[in-house]
Amino acid sequence: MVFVGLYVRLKIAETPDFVNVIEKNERVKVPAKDVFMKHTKAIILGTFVSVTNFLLFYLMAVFTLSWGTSALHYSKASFEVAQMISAVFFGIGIPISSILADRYGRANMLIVSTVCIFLFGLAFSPLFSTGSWAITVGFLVLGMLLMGLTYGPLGTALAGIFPAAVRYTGASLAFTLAGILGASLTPAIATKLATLYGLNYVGYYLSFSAAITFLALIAARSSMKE
Amino acid sequence: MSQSHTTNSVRRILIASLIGTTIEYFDFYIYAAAAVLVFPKLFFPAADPTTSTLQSLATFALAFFARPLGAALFGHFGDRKGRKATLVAALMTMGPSTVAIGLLPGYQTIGIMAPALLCLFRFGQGLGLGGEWGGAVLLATENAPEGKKAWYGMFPQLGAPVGFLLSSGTFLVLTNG
Repeated sequence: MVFVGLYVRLKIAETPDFVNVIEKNERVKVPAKDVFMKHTKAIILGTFVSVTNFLLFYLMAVFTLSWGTSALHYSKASFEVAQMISAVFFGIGIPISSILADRYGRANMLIVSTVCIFLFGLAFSPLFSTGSWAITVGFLVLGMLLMGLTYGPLGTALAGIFPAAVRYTGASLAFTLAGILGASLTPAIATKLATLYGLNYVGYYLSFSAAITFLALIAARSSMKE
Repeated sequence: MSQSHTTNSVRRILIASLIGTTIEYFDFYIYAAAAVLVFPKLFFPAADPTTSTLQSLATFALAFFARPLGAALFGHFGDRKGRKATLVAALMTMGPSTVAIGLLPGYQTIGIMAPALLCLFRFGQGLGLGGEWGGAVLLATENAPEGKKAWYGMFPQLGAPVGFLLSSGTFLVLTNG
């Protein structure tokens, strides 16, 4: 499988934007330095625009599995099947949000999905703790669908806020730094919040992150127009 | 504007970016599952099983911190030498690291070298993922016609749910089959 990927890739020519960077002599010596020194606003906003995405994913994929099978006593196999069903909706949300982003703007699409994630955070505990299996599956599906709606245009949005000369570095750094902030400690923090203060606070944690992403999107909106 | 994108078949570009991220995410998730279910016994034979699992999960977290390093490293070459060669290099870092983890002998055979090499290859996986995502996204969006950038940029993103489905499906079959 790895080699199929390589084979397909080797036959591809360089992108027009990069050829343009070479022709205009715009290449910079140390792109990572430029990203932090000259595009400080873009790297900070890009990271906070992406952070809720990682948080939502690791809540829905890792935290719900451990909480669902321990505190709520669902069987591991049935919960894994429910997660696979929800992953299909993650996949469905991606093309839907991309079409809408091309039509109405990437920033607008991301703002709408981030507001929905904020509301989903408020409903997180009520939806997850009903005890009804059908509602629990619906809760997983809704969370992953929102994940798809915010993930679809994210790569394009991040690429759009950096000029071509530092785009590879800038977009990659914003995305991976958001991964550290939003993903690395999320399962542990969520489990602590749920055990010490109750499941409601896991939802508030998500809503809080969505509020930060919302503000970053408002601030980045003008630079996302292309 | 250069005309080079006319030589790039649209389908090939989109398939390439989708396959690349699917492989990366499949590898990434399957490792997360293996870190909990298989690796504690194989690589970290502590007296206490909780300690083994924690040590194993630490190698999972290692990849998150390797990712931004991969972003800066591969980004450097992606912005200076080109998107295409860099993308292949990122995949070449990720792929062999994953194969090496699969072939690595356990603690019983090579002792302390087993967890040490696991950490090294895991770091390589993280570096590769940090460099590959950006390359796949740029390959897709920079070749996209105006007004279709998000649609093109969606293909590498689709790799995440596809890779997730493949890895959870694999583990479901392995653990219940």
